[in-house]
Order: sequence, then structure tokens, then C-alpha cells
Amino acid sequence: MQKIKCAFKSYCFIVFFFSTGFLSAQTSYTISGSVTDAGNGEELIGTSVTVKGSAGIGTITNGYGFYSLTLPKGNYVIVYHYLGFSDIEKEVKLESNQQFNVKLQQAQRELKQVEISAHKNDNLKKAEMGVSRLDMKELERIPVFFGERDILKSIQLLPGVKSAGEGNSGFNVRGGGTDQNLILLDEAPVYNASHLLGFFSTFNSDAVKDVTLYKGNSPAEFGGRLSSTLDIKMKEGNDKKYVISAGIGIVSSRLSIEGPIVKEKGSFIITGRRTYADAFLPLIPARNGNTSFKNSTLYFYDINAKANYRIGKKDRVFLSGYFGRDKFGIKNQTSFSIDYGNLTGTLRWNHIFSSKLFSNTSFIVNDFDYTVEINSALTDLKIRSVIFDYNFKQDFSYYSNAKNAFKFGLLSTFHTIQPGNVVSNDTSRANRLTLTKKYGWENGIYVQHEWTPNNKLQVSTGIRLSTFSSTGPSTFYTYNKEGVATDSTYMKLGKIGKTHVNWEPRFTLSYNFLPDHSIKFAYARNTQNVHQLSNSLIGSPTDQWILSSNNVKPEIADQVSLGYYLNFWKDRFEFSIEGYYKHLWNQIDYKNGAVLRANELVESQLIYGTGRAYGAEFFLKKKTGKFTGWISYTFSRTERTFKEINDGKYYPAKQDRTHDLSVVLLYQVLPRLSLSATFVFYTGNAVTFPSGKYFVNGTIQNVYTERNGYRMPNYHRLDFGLNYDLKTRKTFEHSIAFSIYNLYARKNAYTIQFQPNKDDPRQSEIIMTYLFRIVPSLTYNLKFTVPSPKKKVKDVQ
Amino acid sequence: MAIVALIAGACQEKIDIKLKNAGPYVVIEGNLSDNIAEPARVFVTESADYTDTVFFHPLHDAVVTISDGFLTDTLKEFNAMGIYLSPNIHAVVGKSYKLSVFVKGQLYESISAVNPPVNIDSIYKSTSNSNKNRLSFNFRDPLGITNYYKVGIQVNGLERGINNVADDRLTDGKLKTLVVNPGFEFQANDSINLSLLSVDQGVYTYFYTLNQNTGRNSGAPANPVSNITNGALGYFNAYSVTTKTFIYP
Repeated sequence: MQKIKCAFKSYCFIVFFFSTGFLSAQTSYTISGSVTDAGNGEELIGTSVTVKGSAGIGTITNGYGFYSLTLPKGNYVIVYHYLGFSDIEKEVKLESNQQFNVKLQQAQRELKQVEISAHKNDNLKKAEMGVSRLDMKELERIPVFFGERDILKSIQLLPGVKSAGEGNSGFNVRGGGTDQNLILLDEAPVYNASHLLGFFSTFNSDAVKDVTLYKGNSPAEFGGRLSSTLDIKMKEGNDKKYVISAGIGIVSSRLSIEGPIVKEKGSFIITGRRTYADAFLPLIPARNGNTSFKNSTLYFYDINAKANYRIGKKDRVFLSGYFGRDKFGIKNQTSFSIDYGNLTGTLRWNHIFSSKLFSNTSFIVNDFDYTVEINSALTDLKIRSVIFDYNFKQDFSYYSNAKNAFKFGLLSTFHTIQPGNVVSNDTSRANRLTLTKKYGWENGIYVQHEWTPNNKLQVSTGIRLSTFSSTGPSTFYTYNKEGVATDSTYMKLGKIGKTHVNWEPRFTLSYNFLPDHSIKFAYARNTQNVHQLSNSLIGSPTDQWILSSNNVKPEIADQVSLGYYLNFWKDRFEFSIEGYYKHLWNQIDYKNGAVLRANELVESQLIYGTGRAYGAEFFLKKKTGKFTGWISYTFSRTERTFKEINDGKYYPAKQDRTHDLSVVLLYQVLPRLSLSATFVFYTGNAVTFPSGKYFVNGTIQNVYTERNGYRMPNYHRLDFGLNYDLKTRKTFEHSIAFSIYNLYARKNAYTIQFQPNKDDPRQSEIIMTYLFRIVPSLTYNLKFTVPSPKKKVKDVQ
Repeated sequence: MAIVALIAGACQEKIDIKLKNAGPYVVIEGNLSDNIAEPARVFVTESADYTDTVFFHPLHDAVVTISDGFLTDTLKEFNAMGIYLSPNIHAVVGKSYKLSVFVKGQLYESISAVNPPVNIDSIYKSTSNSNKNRLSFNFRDPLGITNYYKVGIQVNGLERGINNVADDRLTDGKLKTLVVNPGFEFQANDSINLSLLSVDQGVYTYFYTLNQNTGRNSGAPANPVSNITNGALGYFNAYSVTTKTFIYP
């Protein structure tokens, strides 16, 4: 606590100093306001607001579309620019603080060519490294799986981001584990971002406005996971007209309704989605007498809802929520079902204190829970597990002058984990077991400074103080070397136990040394206090989460990266090489034969070690013309070392994949017809295969030597997509999306098993299981805008 | 996961992968029963390459002894099959036994303790599916003591290997039901001798970790945790046993 108080005082002092200390020779005034889409009122995040002819002096709008630019007294032309929209130039006579709320119109396609060259090199200047932004419009044209646009699948096409494999939920960024990604939906952390075991993500792209992925170099305002931050912002909803969008597909459908609450003052958006894959299950022929499909349940649904309202000129309130559920079940004489899902709720308040000081206050709750039920003649068991967080977040942005901007704030999270509650309706068969609930209080306080001394150099420096305390009411155990519990302490409600304190410096430097070239360097330290335990090959939503404690230390990662960036051929192409090295501490693995489930003493099953990951990421993108697309290639290695595994030698982590290539091509054949293709290739993950066999207890068993000494076979596939816009009318647009997944039907290995031949057990076989060969899909999309009753509606695009 | 395979209508194919040929490793399987009719039995073999078409390579000329702390009994090889037997020593409830095997110039040792036996209540044909390959049985777990169990099965006089084990972590003092799914079909009128062995923690851990590797889902398969020293694969089990006969309907 002492350290927290000390840090608090320090940053208060820094803020005070900078707000009064930066005196300039002339008096300066501030232009501030918001930038929105003229068509639907959505804030445009990252709009550049620059002084014309000043070679780049300016700023960009923040996550709420707010900007603030302080300049010396004088006359200026301010240019507002956002990709895909027509620029607005405003003449300003700056003699006092002024507020301009600007509305940008979407550009007609022909204009795009021209505007880009005026703003080339914006990507080169920003002191950001390892950051990828998804263009939601581009996302609409990439071929999809089962007709569902998918943010998580699309980020896996970018360098440094690898899928955890077909049929696996989660993704790996720069060699990190699948639990090392902070996934935020309107600031609420989402613990399990996939439906149906990884085939679909929990994000309905109809509701999403902006997606930014930070690959380990997140600015100091983000913290809590080692390898990445995926910041997803939902749309606010059209504040001028009511719009209904829907998509009807073979396996799932979605519906979205948005509109104004009070025209141009408040709006709402509700989107929902459901699959009906189980409707098709009874059609699957019974194989080998396996009739389990007939009575199976398999579906997921999710709902996103958001509303916002402007109160006066300085305040805005937002309320958003997500609710999603997956249900899978088999009914035979034994019925087995898994029911899991996330729930998030966020209440936010934006307040503009002055033209230079913007504030956001958030209250967030998020929950992930699962229930597994097994009912048979013999057992009647229900296991339920929950992880639940309350969060309070306060962020300030202070735009001191054209060269200095500050961000500072705090995030306080209270975690509750119910690791497992075993309930048996038939108490003669199994005892009821309630594992001790765990609580933790996690805090992060940060300060960040962005310095732009000239139009070539930008330096971002930040520090985050992160603390984690175990709290009561709960029982804590101490273990000896053999993993036997030697002591247990009970802490009652309100008592604070072991506290871990870590400082996380963040630093990024960007140097635009020649007009089209820049180099960047970054260093960041991240810590993580929630850990997901999984000793299975395939990640499962039922893998449990645990908190740091007196036994489990926070995971820590240090990452340095260096990159070179180039825009060429009049900004038609973008190229980058980024290299990184990451060192990881306090990584968790499991003892041989670990019992992780329903184990009160689960911490006794863990072992701790370190890791390292390094790689080079290449990215080439063609941005304009009929043919666009990109190639991304990553060469990487990620290794771990534990005293108890492989005699303490470094061995490849299971997510280690040496080569990873993605090629995306988009071809706008005709104004209403576009084709797309995606090719993905990667070398296999590290796995443990047998190196011999022996006979014990009448059965043949495999001999295993070192961990992860083999590789899975290479994975590759080609997807094809077609988008056709049908004839549109003023208020009604519709289109058809057709795609084929795995066009040449490659048998990509899902699992490989080693077992004796059924007929002659002396022979041992290797059996590969593969999932999808060709999978076509067809979706019909529509968008209906309710016309305003009196005025003539001028549709944009 | 079985679930994913189900959804996707997963398909399977036999493939070839070049595997390393590690070892060979010594494999020791020792069983010492409290049943006087059963001799002490230690099976000493060697591991094979994955592609070898063979069940096992027996090891001859091993020096195999079992001791209860006072008397040491030497086992003799039978039929040159790598099986070492002795009718002179049996497990006694409450005692610990030490197995010692000297083979190929190396010494391998293990200690196992004998826990009190638990009776089988009843055996019946499993109703969980229509296939003829499951059997269920009940027994009452003694309350207040930590119990570990292993299941054994003999069909028409022939011992079949099954690796079912159980503990009483969640079921202390309760009527336990175990399902036996040996991977082959029972026929009508099969004479089945079902055995419930009371084993110690080392043997339970061996079979528990062995079973983890045979599931599809194991992320990091490793050799089971053996209770034998010096890197031998296998286990030594000194146990008490109760057996019940059942005629498959």
C-alpha cells in the first residue's frame, strides 16, 4: 500500500508540473472538439487533425473521437482527414479557445486515390510498434468460414499472430500462450472469446467499429496480460436514422437494429446472432452405430447492446453490454452437456473538463462461467465454475500543446473465482464439493507522455505500476517441495494477504528519417496475474483460471522490438520488417500426472519456469487499385525451460511454429462484384510423439522421451470468396456473400494418435484426424434504413 | 476433443511419420498378491522400436528378488518368456515389500505397501449402452481412510489387461460404482472373474498417469510416473484382492 500511495503522489506531482511548467514564449490557444461520421454520427477514432502546410503538426482523435490541438495565436487552416472520407479544411483565426465538432462525409470511391497521397506516411510517424488496425470494410470482403465474418480469424492473417489451430479457441501472439491476450470489448475484458470451441468468435462484426491489436508494446494505459491487447470498440448506433441490418446464412443468422434515442443527441444499437448448426445434426448418418448426433444440442447465441446519450456540451454517457452462451450436449443413455458463456456490462461517462483535458470514467463488470453436466444411470454430476470481475477505471487525456500529450489514470479490478462446484443430485454416488472461492484485488496506475518535437520524431514514454493482492474470505495453503500442503491459513473478509508489486516501463520511439522511411524501437514490460491452466493439447473453454497468490507469482514479460517501415510507389504499397525478442518469467506448467480439475490444492500441481521468444515479421500491403491485399510472413521461435522438464534444457513451447505465411488478395472486378482469396501456410506446432513402445499390464504403451521433440505436419489451405451487391434502392441495400473454405480439400491434421492395430496389436499405427475439407457457405445480407418521414433523405454511398 | 470430432464429422487416416528409435528401456512389471494361490510374478522385458512388429522383447538372466524386510525370496524365470515367478512369498496386509531387479548391469528397486481389502457388492451388465462390452460393479468405500483401487478381470480363465484405477477423493465412505470397458466384447455365458485390488498411492499414480496418455487430449504425454528407481518403465504392485464371479447373461 505504501508503494501505491507513493506512486499516486508522484504522478499527481508530474501532472501539476507539466500543466503549469510548459510555458511558451507566445500565448497559445486550443482548438478542440469531436469528429464524427456525417452519415450515422459514429465517432471517427484516429482522425488526423493537422495544420495545413505545417509538415504534420497536429494530433489525432482519441478513442471517443475527441481531439485537442494547442497552437500559438494566429491564422491557420486545419485539415481533418480520415481514410475513406472526404477531407474538411477549416480556416481558423485563433485568438481564443474554440470548439469545432466536425462531421466528415464518406468519400465516393474515385476520390480515394487522391486523398491517400496527401496523407501518406501517417503510419510511419506514429510512435507505435507492433500495432495492427483492422479495417472493418476490408474485413467484409475476406472469405469467411460458415458465412461468419470473424475478427479473431482475420487478425490471424497478420504477422506475429498465429491461430492456436483449427478447432482450437484462442490465438498466440509472438510466442505467448492463449491466455496472455487481453481482449477488451468496450473496455470490458472477455475471458473466453470463442464460440463452439474456436470455430466462431464472440464478436459480431456488425456491432464493431474499431479493432486495434497491440503485440506486446501496448501503451501504459493497458495492462494485465503479457503478449497482446486486442482493443475492440463497438459502434454507437446511427444517431440520425433507424437502420435494420441482417444476414441469413446456412449455419447462422444475425440481426442488428440501431437508431437515435434523441436525434443527434443519443443513439442505441442492438445486435444478435444465433447458429442453428444442430438443426443439421440429425442429417449426419450414424457411423459405426454411433447415433449420438440424433439427440444432440449444438448452438450458440450472442447479443450486444449499447446506448449513449449526450448531456449538454461536455458530457456523454454510454451503457453497453454483451451476453453470449454456448450449449453443447449429447443425449444417449448417458447425457453430457457443456454450457458456457460470457457476460459483460460497461457504464461510461466522458467529461470534457477543458479544451485540453478529457476524462473517461468507467464501471465494468465481466463474467465467464461454465457448467458441465453428466447424467447417466450411474452418475448425476454437475460441475460449475465462474470467474467474475468488478472494475473501476479512470482515464485522463491532457493535451498540453502541439508537442506534448499526457495520459494518466487508474484501473482497479476485484476478481472472484469459483474454481469448481461439484454438485451431485444423487448424494449416494458422489460427495458435494465446493472448492474455496478465490479473491484478488488488482490495480494499475499509469502515466504516459507522448512527445513530438518535430515532424520526424515521436517518443512515447510511459510507466505503469501494477499491484495484485490476495484477499479474503479464503483459505491459502503453503506447500513443501513434494507438493504436500504443510500449512493452511484462513483470511476473513476485508483482510489483504500477499501483495505483488511490479513496475512496467513502456517506451516507443519513431524516427521518420526520410520522407518514406522510418525506423522504430520499443521496449515494454508487462505483468499478468490471472492464469489459465490447461494441460491438454486442445484448449477448452473449461480450462480453469487461477490468480496470483502466495504460491503463484505474477508472470512477467520484457519485450524489445526494432522495425523498419517503408511506403513506396506513391504510397500504393506499405512494407515493414519488425524483429522482437521477448523474455518471460514465472511461466506455469504442470507436474507429470497433474490433477487440475476439482482440486482444492491445485497450486501443488504447478511448476514454474522461464521462456524466451524471438522472431522477425514481414508485411507487404497493396492499398489502392482494383487489386489490393497483403502478404505477411513470420519467422519465429518460442521456447521454455523448467527444472523438471527435459532436464531443465530449453525446449520448444507447444505453440512454436517456425514459419507462418498468410496471403490475402482482394479483387474488385466490377463496382458491385468483388472476389477474394486467402492462402495460409504454416509449419507444424511442437508436439510430443512416442519414440518406441513397450508391453505392460497386457497392453501396448508408448515410450516418450523429450517434451515437444517432434512437429505436426505442415498446415495449408486456400479459401475463396465472392461478394455481389444486388441492385440497391435508396433505403435498401442487399448483397450475397459466397465462400469456400479449404478449396483444394487439404487434410490438415487436427490430432495424431499412436495406437496398436485393431486386428494385429503387434503392429503399431499412426492415425491422423482431420476436420474440414471443402466447406462452402452462402449468406444473404441486407440493410434497411428507415426513411425520415418529412425531410428528403440523402443517402451517402 | 471428442466433442469437436463429433461436430465436424471428423475423419481419420493412417499416416507414416519418421520416429526416433529411443532406448531400449528396461520394463519391469511386478505383482505380489495376498491370494495364496497366486505366485509372485515379475515380468522383465525391454521396449521396442515403434515400427517393430512384436509385443515385447523378454529379458533373461535377470536377478529378481522380493523382500519383506526379514526374508528375501528369489524368483526364477519361467518358460524363457521374461516372466519370473515364486510361490513362496505373498503379500500380507499392513506390510511393505521391496522388489529388486538386477539386469543388463543395472539395479532397479521399488517399494510397495499392502492396504486392506475391500469387498465387491454386486456385478451387473452395464445399461449405459447396448454394446456388449461394459460391465458395472458396486462396492462400499471405507470411510475415513484414503483408498486406492485397481480393477482386474479374467474372462473364461484368461487374464485380460485393463488399467482402470480409482480413488476416494470425492467418494469417501460412499457406495462406488465403476464401469469396466475392457475394449473387447463379452459373449453370453462368459465366466468373468472380476477383481478389486487395494493398492497404494504409487501404483494408483502409475496407472492414473498411464491413462492420461491414452486419452486423445493429452497435451504433453509423458511416461507414467513409475514407482521403480533408475529409470525403469513399469511398476511394482503389492496388493490385497477380493474377487467375485459373474456369468455374463
